[in-house]
Amino acid sequence: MKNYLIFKVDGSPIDDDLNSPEVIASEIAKAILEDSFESSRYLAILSDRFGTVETSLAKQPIASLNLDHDGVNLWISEGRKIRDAIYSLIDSIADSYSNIAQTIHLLEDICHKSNKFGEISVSDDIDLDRTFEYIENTSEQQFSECLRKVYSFNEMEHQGASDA
Amino acid sequence: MTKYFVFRNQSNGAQKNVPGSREEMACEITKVVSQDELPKDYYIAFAQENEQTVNETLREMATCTVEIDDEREKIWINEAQALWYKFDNLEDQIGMANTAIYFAANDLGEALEQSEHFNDIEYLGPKTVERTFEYMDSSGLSQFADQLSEIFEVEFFHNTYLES
Repeated sequence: MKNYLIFKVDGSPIDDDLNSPEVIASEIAKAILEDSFESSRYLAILSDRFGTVETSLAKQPIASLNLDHDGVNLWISEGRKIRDAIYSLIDSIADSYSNIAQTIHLLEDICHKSNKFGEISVSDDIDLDRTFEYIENTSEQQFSECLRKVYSFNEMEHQGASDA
Repeated sequence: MTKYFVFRNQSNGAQKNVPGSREEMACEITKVVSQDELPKDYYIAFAQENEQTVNETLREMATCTVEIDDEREKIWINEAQALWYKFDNLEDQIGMANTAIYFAANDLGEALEQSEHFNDIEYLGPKTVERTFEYMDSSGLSQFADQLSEIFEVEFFHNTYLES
């Protein structure tokens, strides 16, 4: 079982090998931290190597996790697919909310300017926030909790480094 | 004030309302008030030439009547039509959101169920998505339809309005 240190970085080069343990460790960390922003980048380094080869990395790790061959295979065969499906659902919900809210806004704007239909209130009829509460379960949190246990994820105390 | 008799168009496309005519307007108003999604030439309308010529048979065949004069025509053209398009657009947005979220939730459900390690995670069920969007379907259109019905004195025959 190998231990990897996780760093949050800006614009790090993407490893060509998507199935390397380092890339997988960083993907798992991102999923555990429920960070679905596409631009967010994490870097994973074997803890044995920290302080030697990567001394130029003047940052503190934000977390660590354990990863072995089985853990790599689990992520490739199951984890990645579930993560992609969760992100897809999150995107669908966010896009849908935004499009409907925008259309309601335009519709009400026309109503308010109208002499005959000024009293129609669409947002009273569709309580968008309340409606979307029913479909807010994207499983992201539960997936994160499972991954934490499977990969013995350990978040570091010094959170300042995560903003770097 | 002219009364327009609106009929189900059974001419298989042989007869159509003249685009931009009050007859076409009467048919569009009928579609909005009935709140049914119907094809463009589903109805055809005829102006009542003379009140005395309308016999009982004609009344029995008609779906409804719509009253249009100059003032009401302006209401339709300047206010109601734009609102109708926006309501239509909102219905489309809700329908697209329903489809996108339904399939995204379904994909996530499949990924979780096929997984050996993560199949205990709860996920958004397609039935919850369906119920949520059924609730959203009212969308203020009924307020608009009621007001249109009042303004244009729409009178349905044979309870077709209630049956639709």
